[in-house]
Amino acid sequence: MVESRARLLIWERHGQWSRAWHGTSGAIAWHVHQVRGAVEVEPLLESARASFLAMECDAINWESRCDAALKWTRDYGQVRFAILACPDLIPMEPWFREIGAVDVAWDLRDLGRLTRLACRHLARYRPADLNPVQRCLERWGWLPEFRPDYERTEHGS
Amino acid sequence: MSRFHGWHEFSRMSRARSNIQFLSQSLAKSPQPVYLLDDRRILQYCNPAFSEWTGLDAGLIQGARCDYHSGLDGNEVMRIAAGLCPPPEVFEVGALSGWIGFRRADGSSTRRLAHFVPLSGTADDASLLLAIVAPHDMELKSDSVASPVLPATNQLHARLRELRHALGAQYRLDHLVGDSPAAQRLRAQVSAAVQTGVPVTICGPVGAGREHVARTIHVARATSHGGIIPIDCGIVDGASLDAALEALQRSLPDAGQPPAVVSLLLLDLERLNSECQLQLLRRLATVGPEVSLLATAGRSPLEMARRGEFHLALASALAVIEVELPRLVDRQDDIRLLTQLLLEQQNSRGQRQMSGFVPEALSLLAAYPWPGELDELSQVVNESVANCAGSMVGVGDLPASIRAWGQAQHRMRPVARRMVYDDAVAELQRELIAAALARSRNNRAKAAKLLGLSRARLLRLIEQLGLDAPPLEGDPVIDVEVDSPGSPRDPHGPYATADPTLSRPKIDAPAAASESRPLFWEVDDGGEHG
Repeated sequence: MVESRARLLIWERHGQWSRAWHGTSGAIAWHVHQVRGAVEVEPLLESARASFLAMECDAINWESRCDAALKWTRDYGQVRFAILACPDLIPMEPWFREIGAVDVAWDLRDLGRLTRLACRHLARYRPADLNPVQRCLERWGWLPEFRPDYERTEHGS
Repeated sequence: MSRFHGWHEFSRMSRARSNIQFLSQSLAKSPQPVYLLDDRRILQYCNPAFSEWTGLDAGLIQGARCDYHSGLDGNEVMRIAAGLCPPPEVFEVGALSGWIGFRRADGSSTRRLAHFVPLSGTADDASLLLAIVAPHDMELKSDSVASPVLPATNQLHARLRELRHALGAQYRLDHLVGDSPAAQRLRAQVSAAVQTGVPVTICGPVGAGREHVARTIHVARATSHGGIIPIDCGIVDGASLDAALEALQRSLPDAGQPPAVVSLLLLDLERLNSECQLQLLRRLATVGPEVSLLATAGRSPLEMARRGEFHLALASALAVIEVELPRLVDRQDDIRLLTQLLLEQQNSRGQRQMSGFVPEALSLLAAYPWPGELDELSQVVNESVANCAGSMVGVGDLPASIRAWGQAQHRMRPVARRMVYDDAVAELQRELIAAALARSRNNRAKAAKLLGLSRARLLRLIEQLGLDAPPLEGDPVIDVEVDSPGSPRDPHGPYATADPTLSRPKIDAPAAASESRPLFWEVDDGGEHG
């Protein structure tokens, strides 16, 4: 089975961004994984080291989340992250970008921009050793339990 | 009018000086650090307790301007002065409290709460700001943002200062280690880039530390008060490029604020699509010297522009200096040093302290070709440290891939081979002809057709390349070929044998491979052979 090296991880508490992403049309909706803590993020990054991580930050947690993002970008060089911030943190935008955030979203109106960034990042790391039919299947996106087993499909055909 | 204005100003300054003299006599004996700023934020007075706290003589710091920024300036007096600046709101709303602090030359930092009181008499008087500093350091926590005495932005500003200093410490020129000529050249190029302040593009292979070098240049430039805004050109589009450039614009100082330089860092420049190249070019035309341009690329942008693969004007704007990063395999002398550096960086982050790698492990690492460059070396060091139970990393602690490579090298004969153009071309010709002959079952007419050659030319090549073989049955001999001594048809030559199987060409053509992956398309020769 060919496992994608990249996922779209949404680290948030209430799930509004995940729901919005699930609601978007296109393949990106299938790559979304909502996580609620750093302990959940780490193993997912370990298995998909080129993931795109969107982190919700507020006045209380921004510092710890930025520390975590710095650590992960150091440990997994291909990881990219974006910040989903509340308006209180507008003065911190330069800092978020300085530590490597590819974008900072202030509300759901920025979803389209973030989606395009995430799509292009995930496309860079899609499995390369697939034939055109398999690439088409891959573009649709699959939940892990329904992901096609390309090896078996190939032998079976 | 101007004479009157000059007198007015002189009178105002005289009153200010007399006010400061009066205040300084009263404040000199205060056990708490106290200082006075004028309305231009110039430090006019500080008491002995202040000098004791900052470690600076009053003569050194008095006259310095306290600007509100969180930069990384190398000048100690300016750095401390920036840390003493009150929140800008104090000049608008009156007395308030705020955090002040700075990092000392020895690396330790201090942070205290200060109460700022504007002192002004009549409207004609020059206003002064009195800062009374708490006698002890205090801890700043991000969850106390809602504190009633402090504007939230002041706490964010204070924290941003600390974070930026901590991040900046990772990017220092002395981290570009190495004794090899390539490393020395790199340091010289980086130093030149730092001193000139012009746009720089760092070119090199992926994983060679291009972004690290770019950020090092940003930190080392003495005027870099501001931050750095990186843009990943591989994924950016028009909207996100605009958002990033607007963030850059917002981080520039407003009119009246102290000058600051903010760096724009374009990562993987060669991946920027042509639409965004034009958009960026238009935006760069409007930015001033307060924006420093840095970029990283796999290939020289100017070279790409010459080939028509990149916008020439943008390449010229971004690559005034090109710093070329060497491949790790070209600086193998440095690998031992770099390995130790990466290990010590690990030490500085974690609890567990390691002393180094055993010589055998270092020799193996020095011989490895490092296709993944510095990133791969860093990963190998991290993995080795994780595998190691003691304080020295041994060969057994290295990742399995490195050990397997070492074992394979040990078993292989070292091949010392120099590239010679003619030999390489001949080898390629030999391969192609061998494959064609294998495919055509040694039918040279068919092989010639497969190769798109005339039969006569193929025969000449076979002879030249030493692939000489007698004709198989049914392979017609044509008149153009002249038999020579030693040729297949020479009855006294080396191929003169009764057993035709012994005289087949000595070609180890990969028959199985050529069947699974055809090198040639089938040629429909209509059943004819030659």
